[in-house]
Amino acid sequence: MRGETLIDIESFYVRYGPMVLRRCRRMLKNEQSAHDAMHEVFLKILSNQNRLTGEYPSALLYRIATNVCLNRIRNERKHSLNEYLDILYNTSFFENQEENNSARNLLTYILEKEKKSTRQIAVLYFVNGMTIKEIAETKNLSISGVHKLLDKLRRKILDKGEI
Amino acid sequence: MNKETISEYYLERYALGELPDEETEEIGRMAVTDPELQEALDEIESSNQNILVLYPPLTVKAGLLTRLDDRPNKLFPLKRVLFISSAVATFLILILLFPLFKQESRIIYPNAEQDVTLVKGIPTVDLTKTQLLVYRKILDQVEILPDGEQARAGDLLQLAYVTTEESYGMILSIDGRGTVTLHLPENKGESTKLESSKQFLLPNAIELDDAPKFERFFFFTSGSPIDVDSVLREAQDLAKNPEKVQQKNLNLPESYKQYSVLILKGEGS
Repeated sequence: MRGETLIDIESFYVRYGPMVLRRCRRMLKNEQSAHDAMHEVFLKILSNQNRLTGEYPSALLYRIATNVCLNRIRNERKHSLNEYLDILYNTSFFENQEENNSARNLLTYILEKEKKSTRQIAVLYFVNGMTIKEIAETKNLSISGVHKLLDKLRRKILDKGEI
Repeated sequence: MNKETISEYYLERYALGELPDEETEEIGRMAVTDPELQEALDEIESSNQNILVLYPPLTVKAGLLTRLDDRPNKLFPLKRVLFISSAVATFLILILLFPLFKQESRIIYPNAEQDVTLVKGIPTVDLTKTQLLVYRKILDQVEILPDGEQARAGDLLQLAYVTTEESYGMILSIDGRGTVTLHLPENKGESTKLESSKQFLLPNAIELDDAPKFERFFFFTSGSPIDVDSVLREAQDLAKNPEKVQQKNLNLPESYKQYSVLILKGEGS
């Protein structure tokens, strides 16, 4: 691997490592776990360098970091997912305090129950804290399309007692 | 876009210069008039530096390569040979170059697994002032050692510099045994060109050895390339008198500016 790596690991880490670690720290809230997750992110990139085809590696790295951390959170079920609730942005998604309590299990819901396309948008909105406009730009969707999807998700959660 | 609608994701990518032009210009305009936004961007910059001190690039690289090696090998035999050649070459470079600098000290590559700590203190650095910075990592803190501070053998130090005007420079240290160590450039034959307008961390952390009394770090800057050999000769001359090392600057041309940080060896050194 060392002989065939296309990336200068050192300079790649200097440029993107801090961003990845901050992301992992924010999501995992444990320095050891965040450090391990950061390594995992870079290992994924180094093992699949053909993924670096886009103009902006930061977008890919940020997304991989988010997914790595979510997987770790999911796999560490010995800890309550409640511990990780503050990684959820946009809790105003629910309109009042009672509804906000529903956020208690939102993370579980996102991770386990939604189909991939919905999950990606939910993660961008709830976990990455991206605005609807940013999500629309990132996913090449209309703003109203993102609105509709999130509204549908909200109603699903509240009305059907999915969580 | 307004301040409230800029996500952390966009801020990070803006700081890296990896947003499309339109968003870059928009955030740039807002940062000029919005102190909070500018502060958030400054925090990213400060955090970048701090993380790179806490987890030095070479340490992380070594950890990644080790973990890559631990993975099942899917390489073809020829690629495997290339990999081994590369590793051997890297090793040879390290053992061949390092004795040029200092026999008594060593560059350490701390085990990344043991090196994981929470950062409680984030030193702030004035990027408008040319200076030499000596960071020390103790437990979960990174601190900047001021001139005259005490330290012990075994302390993990990271050198960094900030330069605002001068384009060339070098960093060396002299210890209580009279040993002169070149820290920047890494090799005598390398360029002395400096990175300006930001904090530049040297690639390797260093561990203070057991040399007695002190270690004084010198940073020299100049508007033209520095003659490393002649500066080293002056340093070796000064090193003959340990008392002078703590007080005197090197006898260098006036066009050279000198900065230094004296670290006194405390108990246990």
